[in-house]
Amino acid sequence: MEKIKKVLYEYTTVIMLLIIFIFFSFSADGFLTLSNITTVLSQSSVLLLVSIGMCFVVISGGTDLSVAATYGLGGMVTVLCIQAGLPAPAAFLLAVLTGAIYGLINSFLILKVHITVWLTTLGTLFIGESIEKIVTKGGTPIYLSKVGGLFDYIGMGTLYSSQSESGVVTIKFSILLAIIVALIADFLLRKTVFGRNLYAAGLQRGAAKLAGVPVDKCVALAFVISGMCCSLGGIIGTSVLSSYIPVNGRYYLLDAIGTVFIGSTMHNRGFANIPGMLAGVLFFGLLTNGLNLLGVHFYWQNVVRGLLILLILAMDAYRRNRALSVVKNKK
Amino acid sequence: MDNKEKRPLSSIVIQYSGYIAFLGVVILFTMKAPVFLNPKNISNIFLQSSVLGIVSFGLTGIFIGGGDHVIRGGTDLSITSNMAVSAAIVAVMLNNGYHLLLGIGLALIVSLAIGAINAFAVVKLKMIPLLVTICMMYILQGVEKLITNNKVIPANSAILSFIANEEILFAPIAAWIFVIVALLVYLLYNSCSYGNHVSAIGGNELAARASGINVSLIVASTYLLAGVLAVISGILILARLSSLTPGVGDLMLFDVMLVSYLGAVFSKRFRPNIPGTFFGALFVGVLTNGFTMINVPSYWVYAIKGALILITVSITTMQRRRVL
Repeated sequence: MEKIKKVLYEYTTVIMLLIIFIFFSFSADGFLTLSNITTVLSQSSVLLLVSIGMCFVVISGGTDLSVAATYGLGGMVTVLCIQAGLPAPAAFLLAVLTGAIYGLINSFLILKVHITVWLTTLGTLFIGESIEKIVTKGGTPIYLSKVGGLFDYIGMGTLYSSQSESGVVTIKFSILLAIIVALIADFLLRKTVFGRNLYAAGLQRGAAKLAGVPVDKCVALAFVISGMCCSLGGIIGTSVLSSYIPVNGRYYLLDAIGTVFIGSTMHNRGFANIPGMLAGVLFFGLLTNGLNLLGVHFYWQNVVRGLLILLILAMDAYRRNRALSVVKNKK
Repeated sequence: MDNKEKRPLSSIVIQYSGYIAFLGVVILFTMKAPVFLNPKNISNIFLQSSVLGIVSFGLTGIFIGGGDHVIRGGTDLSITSNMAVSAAIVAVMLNNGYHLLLGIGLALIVSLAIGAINAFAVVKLKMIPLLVTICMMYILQGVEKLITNNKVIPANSAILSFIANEEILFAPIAAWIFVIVALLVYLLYNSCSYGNHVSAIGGNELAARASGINVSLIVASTYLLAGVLAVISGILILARLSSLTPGVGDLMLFDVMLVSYLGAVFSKRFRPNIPGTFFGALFVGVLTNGFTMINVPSYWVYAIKGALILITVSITTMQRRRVL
């Protein structure tokens, strides 16, 4: 009995995800089909990329509100380059470079000028979004017609497609790309010195510095990685729509914070981590999809989503508080 | 000896460097557009800053009591959604023929309940405020759409138009409400023991607890106060626009956070504070108003605003570090 209780406590988030998954499988027609699941996956690639970026910054002990700006700027640079007639790979490179430069600016302001993380990333968020509006003359979308080639492939290319009885099963190239980035990120965080240093820098910056961890370098790199991941997300976003819609990034910003922290509830010490975040992204995708299939009105979806995330986080907090009080009582 | 005489001067410069930057911007605008310093325009700036300022006071209180840890520190992302929901409740009640005061009463109850849930999760469940309030924000965004059916709700009431249009002593009542609320919140946080307790908790929660402060109660009260202030600003939105556009809260969220963090520039210890937030709101109001006056396209305004604010903060922070 004790053991079951312990397992239940350890895996609250996973159990909640399973309950939701099972609930939708039974109640929503067409939820548990291969074609639906692969559709959900394919739609999650952008959120996944933005969340990876956010994950690095959260581990470094900060937050990055400017992910919304780097997402938008990445898309903007890509579209402008394509319009100017540059080949797609060059456009992608420039877009990712823009994200990296944005991360450098953020880390310069935070580490060298010592402005607080919130104020810096808020400021750069505003500046980035304005640049998007200035370039598009007040926020009119830019439509691209028939670009084809690699530009279309990165967002819409399919790796595998087959007709099954429930519908078309497709696996998009974009989700493979996002998962590869996630695997690299996981490797970086868990198996390299950089990853360990980053966790140390986020946990106790002063202590890490005294222990000889190059804190500033690690944190700066986290912001650069965040910028690069988000601009890659922006590239995929524009490719999917074959158009560029300015100031669209805020949609992903708060969701990314949500997925990262849902992920951190799956770590036994509550650290942000990539596998947990993947589950968080999947949770957001499946929830939206399931509620849509059930025919829940769009207005109610926000309410349900907020309540469910609140419930997961509250259960996790309750578990941690109890664990803490048990330790205290033993003393 | 020499050292002793020099230090006060430089520390004074640093203490007021935020104000100096503010003054510089005002002088710049006055040179470009002399109308800028017209009493009429000044009262207009106060009017434009009122909604932003009043919500920001609530968030500033939470910042002060929550400490300045990047992730675990106090924050409330649901505050502008709370404001929008309050405004929606009042508008819908008015349209259904209820009295304005009844609507305000209901909005107050709902808003306090939201503040109480936030406070319970933060204080009792010890959840991270950032996450609690993100979830609350999702919920309230949905609630707002449910109440308004995602349509613009007109709100006509004699009292509301009185607040927005009637002038007392050269300024609309709404501008005076801003000033009065600022004064009250200032008194609460800067000359009551309550304010000291909130700052103490923000500085070091354990020390505050050890010295006998009821930490849970006081942290919870900052969330409740933020709820009340959100209702006041919601009413001001209705009064100024005589309608409610759904989604107004989402648009304002980052502005409110900016103003509340910007308040730190106006303080000696570089921490969020009430007078700083007041000047921060006016600073943002001055920038918006001034740029419109010298005919800068609206989409440039945010970029210039963001850059100016970052530059101001950089200069202040760097100077401060040089002296310390």
